[in-house]
Amino acid sequence: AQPKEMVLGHNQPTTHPIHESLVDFKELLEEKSNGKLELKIYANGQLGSEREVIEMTQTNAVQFTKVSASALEGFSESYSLFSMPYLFKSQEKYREIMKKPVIQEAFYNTTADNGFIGITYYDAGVRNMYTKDRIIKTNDDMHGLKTRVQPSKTSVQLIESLGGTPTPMSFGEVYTALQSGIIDAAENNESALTDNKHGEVAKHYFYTEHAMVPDILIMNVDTYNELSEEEQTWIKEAAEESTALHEPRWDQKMKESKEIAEEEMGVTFYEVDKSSFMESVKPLQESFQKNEATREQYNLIMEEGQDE
Amino acid sequence: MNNAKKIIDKTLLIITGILISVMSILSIWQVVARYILSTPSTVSEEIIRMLLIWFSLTSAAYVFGQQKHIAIVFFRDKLSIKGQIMILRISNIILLLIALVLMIWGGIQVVNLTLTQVAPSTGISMAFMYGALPISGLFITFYALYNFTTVKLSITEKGSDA
Amino acid sequence: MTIIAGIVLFLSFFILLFFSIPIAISIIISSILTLLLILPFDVTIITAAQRMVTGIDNFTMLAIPLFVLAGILMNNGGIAFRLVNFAKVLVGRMPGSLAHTNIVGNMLFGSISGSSVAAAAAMGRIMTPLQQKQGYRKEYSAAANIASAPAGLLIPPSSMLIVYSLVSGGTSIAALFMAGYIPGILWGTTCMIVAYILAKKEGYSVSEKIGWKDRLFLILDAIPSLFLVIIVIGGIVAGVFTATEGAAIAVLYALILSLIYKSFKLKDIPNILKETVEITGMILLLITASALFSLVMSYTGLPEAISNGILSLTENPILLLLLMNIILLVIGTFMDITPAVLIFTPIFLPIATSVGLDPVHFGIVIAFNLCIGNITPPVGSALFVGASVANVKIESVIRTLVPYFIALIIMLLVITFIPQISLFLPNLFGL
Ligand code: NA
Ligand code: NA
Repeated sequence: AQPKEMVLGHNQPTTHPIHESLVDFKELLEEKSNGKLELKIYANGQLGSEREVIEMTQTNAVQFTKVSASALEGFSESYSLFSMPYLFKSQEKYREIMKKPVIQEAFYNTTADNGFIGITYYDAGVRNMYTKDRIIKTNDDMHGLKTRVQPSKTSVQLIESLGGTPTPMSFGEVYTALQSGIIDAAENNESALTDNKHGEVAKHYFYTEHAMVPDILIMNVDTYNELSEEEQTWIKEAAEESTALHEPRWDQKMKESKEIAEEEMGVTFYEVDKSSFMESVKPLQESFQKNEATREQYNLIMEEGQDE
Repeated sequence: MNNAKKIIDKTLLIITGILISVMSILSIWQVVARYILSTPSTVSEEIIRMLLIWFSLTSAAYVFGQQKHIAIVFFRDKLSIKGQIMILRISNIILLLIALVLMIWGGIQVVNLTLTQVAPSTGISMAFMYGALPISGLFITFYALYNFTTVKLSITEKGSDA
Repeated sequence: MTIIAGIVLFLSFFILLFFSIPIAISIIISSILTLLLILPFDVTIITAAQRMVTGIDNFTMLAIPLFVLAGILMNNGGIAFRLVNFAKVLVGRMPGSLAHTNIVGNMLFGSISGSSVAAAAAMGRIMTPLQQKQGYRKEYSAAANIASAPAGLLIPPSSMLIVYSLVSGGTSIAALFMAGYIPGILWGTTCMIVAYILAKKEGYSVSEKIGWKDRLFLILDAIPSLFLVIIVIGGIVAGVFTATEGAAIAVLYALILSLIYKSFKLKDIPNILKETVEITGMILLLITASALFSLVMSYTGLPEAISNGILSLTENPILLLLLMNIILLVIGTFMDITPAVLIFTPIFLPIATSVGLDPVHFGIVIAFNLCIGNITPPVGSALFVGASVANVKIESVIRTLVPYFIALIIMLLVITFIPQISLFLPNLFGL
């Protein structure tokens, strides 16, 4: 039989760890299916922005895309839960929970009516604060701090709950905005310092560890349903294995970024008093707990997180 | 038909005029909010982007009405009046197809697809944004029909000028 | 697959262009035909419909209608006239002085309005009667006006460079703006040298001397108009506001200035609006159509295939740059600036970067090429408008334009092979 050819689009460069992990997925899939399923990857946003490619996945113009969970908020509000500060106790706990089938089911099928489902998650790092001048030790130090956020309501709420002044802007503008003083701070994982050169203008990086927003691999639901059970299993297995391969690759990347930022860019890394931040975000956490759209997932994650 | 065209021209100019004024004011407001009030606006950019889509597509429709979309007329101008009329007729049939199939039918499909999808900052349904497509498609449909029926007149007028 | 897709895409595109189908519609149809090779009919149509909306879903793009509006307000508001007077003070004592005034006027006005057509029309209308009174040949004055009209496209603010920034994947607008200054000024200077030589040949005199009191008055009178550029470009380069916000401030400033000069009347609003909508409706539809075009190209792997094809001819950077310049000049003869930037940037930029060109520098090279195309037959909007306001036939003005073409092509080579000319200012400002 003719091999089934499918297409995956994402918007990271081919040097990014997630691209390598998606290549793992492709190779594992083609290996398991003995070439019956083929995957073509378009990196670098060649097929468009995250939202554009999600919409192409809805209509089956592409079959797969890897996007940030925050880009899925507009399609299913449950994904906004990942913008809740301190949802996970630690990165270890986060990885453990994200791999549990019960958690996956709670999120991945919520978009089936929109024409796509989740397949697996990839670690996209821990989000921390970084500033040009200000030193942040407790959440009092956040007062009036103009902090870049992604242009979304939940990101705005997140920074407000931490005590800062949110300034929505696109990621590409952050460097010059920091330089010219339009913003005082931004928040992201360590690679923003090096890959996007933010470390040239922001010299202080604080491990606030306020959020972990996963990348999600999504797939067109019709294509998935039309596959045989065996083919579906190949996809699930290939995805799961690539997720496992991705974690150490990501850790390595963060370690390298930190070293380059420290040694070549002169960025200082600080520990902070996390408890003061955790205290200040409680009202926001409660709103996620009460919200109909996120309550079930919230409770599930809390249950899974208790067994220490 | 002529009266209808005048009304539609005017309607489109009023819509685009309001849109560009609102977008200008909101953009200036963004600067004021950031520097003078120190509370950056969290929703204005998203609103502006939605309005810009409406502005672009309704403007584009208006330009079809004025027949001012840029084309390479070098070869057409070498033809006889008859040939030119034929080319203009074909051109307007093609435009009609684009308006009906791509903008109206395709636009409605996309609106249906995005009814439940919301914009991240404002929470407005994305269908509002995509709605600009079928609506502009309706205006373009009218202009394509109008231009098709009036093509003879305008070309002979132009011919007598030369 | 890629080859078939390429044939379908470009062949249908050129056939439609040949039949005078509007460029935007030609782009949309040839993209849809190509996409149909890969996707079912309904998915193709829905994908194309989506891209027609998302292709303009970009805050930066608002800068284009706003700068156009600002330019039209200034044209209407007595600002063009003040800039001409200012130019006269600067260059009024050279042979062919009115032509030099026209050229500097184009640089100043085009700089602000960001449109070669608006500049050629405004300056041509003001300068043509004056030059005829002085006994200049019509073709001489029209050629100087036409040749210098695109200078303001290179001098910021510039919609052309904003479009390049968008289509090149977010090259910094501030850097592109700074990079445009020197090449834009060189463009104007080149025109002045040619106009000078031609004036000597024709034996034209210099303008009357302006007394120092009048000089002072004319300079002071022009300062508020010139100040617009300083606020807007200064603000964008310093990062105080984005290009879009800067454009909105330019609109506000032009409006206030027009009100102060009492040259803005409520009854002008419909015409100002009509002009703005006509120019921007055309550009924005082209932009969104090109978004679909580039999706189709990426999906079918065309840019890569074309660059590989060109790279297989030669890998010598000098030859590659010459080759790209020739192709762009040819494209420029029949295609207008915006569609050409939109269609050819995704194809040529990867080649340029692969031989080590800076995307900012390459943006200026593309821009300079297409600006030359803007004044060449058979399709050149500045050529058409400049000839029509001077009431000369295109065929007759072209002969006088030939020395300008030659000089500008030499300048193009200088700008292509000396990147520092473009990159000096962006580097100086750390952009
Ligand atoms: Na300009
Ligand atoms: Na030309």
